Amino acid sequence: MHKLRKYYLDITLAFPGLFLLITFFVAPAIAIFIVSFTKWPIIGSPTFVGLKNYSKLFTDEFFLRALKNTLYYTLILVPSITALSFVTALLLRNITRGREFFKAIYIFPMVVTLTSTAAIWKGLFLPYGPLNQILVKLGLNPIDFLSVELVIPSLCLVLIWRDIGYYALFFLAGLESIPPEVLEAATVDGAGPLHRFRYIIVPLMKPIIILVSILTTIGSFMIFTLVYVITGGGPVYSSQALLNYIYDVGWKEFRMGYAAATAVVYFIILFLLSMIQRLVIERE
Amino acid sequence: MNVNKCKFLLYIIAVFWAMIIVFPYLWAFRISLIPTYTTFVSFFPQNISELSLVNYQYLLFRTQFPRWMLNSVIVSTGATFLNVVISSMLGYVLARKRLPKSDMIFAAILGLLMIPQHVLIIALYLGLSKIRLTNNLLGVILPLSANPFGIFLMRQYITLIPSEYEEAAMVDGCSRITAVFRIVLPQALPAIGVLTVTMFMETWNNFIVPLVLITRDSLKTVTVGVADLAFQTLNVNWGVLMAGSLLGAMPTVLVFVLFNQYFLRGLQLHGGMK
Repeated sequence: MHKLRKYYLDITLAFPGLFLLITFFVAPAIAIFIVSFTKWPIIGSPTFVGLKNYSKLFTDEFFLRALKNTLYYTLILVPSITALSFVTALLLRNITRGREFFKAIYIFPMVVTLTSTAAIWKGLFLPYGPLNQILVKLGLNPIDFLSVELVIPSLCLVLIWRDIGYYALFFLAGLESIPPEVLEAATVDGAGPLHRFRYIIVPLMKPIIILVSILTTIGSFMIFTLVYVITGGGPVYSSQALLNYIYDVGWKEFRMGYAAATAVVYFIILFLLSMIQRLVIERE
Repeated sequence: MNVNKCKFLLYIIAVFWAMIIVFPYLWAFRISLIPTYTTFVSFFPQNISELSLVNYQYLLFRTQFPRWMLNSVIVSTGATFLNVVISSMLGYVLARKRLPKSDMIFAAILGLLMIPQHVLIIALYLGLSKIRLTNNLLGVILPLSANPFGIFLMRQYITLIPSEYEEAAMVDGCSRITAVFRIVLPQALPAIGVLTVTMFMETWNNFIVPLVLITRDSLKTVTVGVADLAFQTLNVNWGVLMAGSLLGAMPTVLVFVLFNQYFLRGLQLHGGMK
């Protein structure tokens, strides 16, 4: 009783937060694991099927395609966003007048709701839309941006366009922390701009390069909204990412057990990826 | 001379890139001002009279758009407020290690940060439909407010505030709860600002949670509503869609313009620990 009084205030302060976290985070996490062992066609009750959902996943053509697509997104996005945001940061670093202005513009797409951005790009990608009008004006052939072959690179283009400014801020913060004496000393020793970049700036930026590549990897696995709005996963599933697949299984086919198993596998893949990257960092 | 030329070139690249960033939004604005279904127009209008606000009129009076905006405002302010309150309170308790095993609780919360909410959406849907909170704005507010990031942020920040201030106040006869409100809270205001702005942006932009938990048209948030407009199978009304996209993005843009610094700090913190 005495103890309870001692903790009375603290329990009151801690309770709402812990309650919300347990109800809306911990409990669902446990529930999803349990549901993944069942067959649950939303109407009706779940039946226990053991590991059947999991064994089915690895021969499920649609799941494997979504996994492959997600890896394809990741493979394009991670190196291009990392490299281009680094370049953008170098650009911003060398601009003195108006740097804040350009920073604000470059980060702007990150501020706009992704559904709005997606809707706008859906228009830009139209066969007779503005991008093709520009291509034609330049004397080039129009491109079918959302065709089976090009749809993933096109969607990546949107994300690259959107994210560069944001990740450039990470690099910019890093660049600003390099002591100017280091670069001056190198210049005195006769290092040209390219040498300074290759042998001083890049090694110093290594932690940020790793950080940005981790964040963009996670970001690539989170792709959902853009695909949902622009293509709905099509044409013929060619742009469907893992989260879109989970959504379709759950809310178009209403196979909750199977969707839960997919979500668990999705989480494990994401977890392993970030573990591998963490190991890489620790070795550096 | 050479240096100057170089600088000039850099500015040209910077301006060019800025134009590429801005172009899609300008184009959307242009399309939102033409009264037809077409998108095949020249970028610069021939004369002023061909522009019209008919799409905005349609959006505001013939669709549920105003309701969607209102729902988004309710959801994001509600979830943000709730999250800031619970995060500050729990963050304080964990920072001062007021409960036994505070560090273990904090480590568990850090572990939760590894789990993206998308993974949980199926269980959230099943659970909330059991207690009849689907198609209910409260059912969207609660899961969105249960965001461990805020607790992490507040705990870390309050740890940096020396506890001597509170103790001194308590020696002077102030109760602990008064000390928390009068002494800790004012010092934690910068973190609260960052958290408020970050959470508002996140909840406004959240798509998958309201998409799954709300099916009734009049309860949708603006993100889901705009996606609906974009997904009309027969004929997308581009003018209306662009008008909706732009208006739907206004609140977060406004917050960005007003609280630029908080937002940038929040982004970096949030990204830095994901």
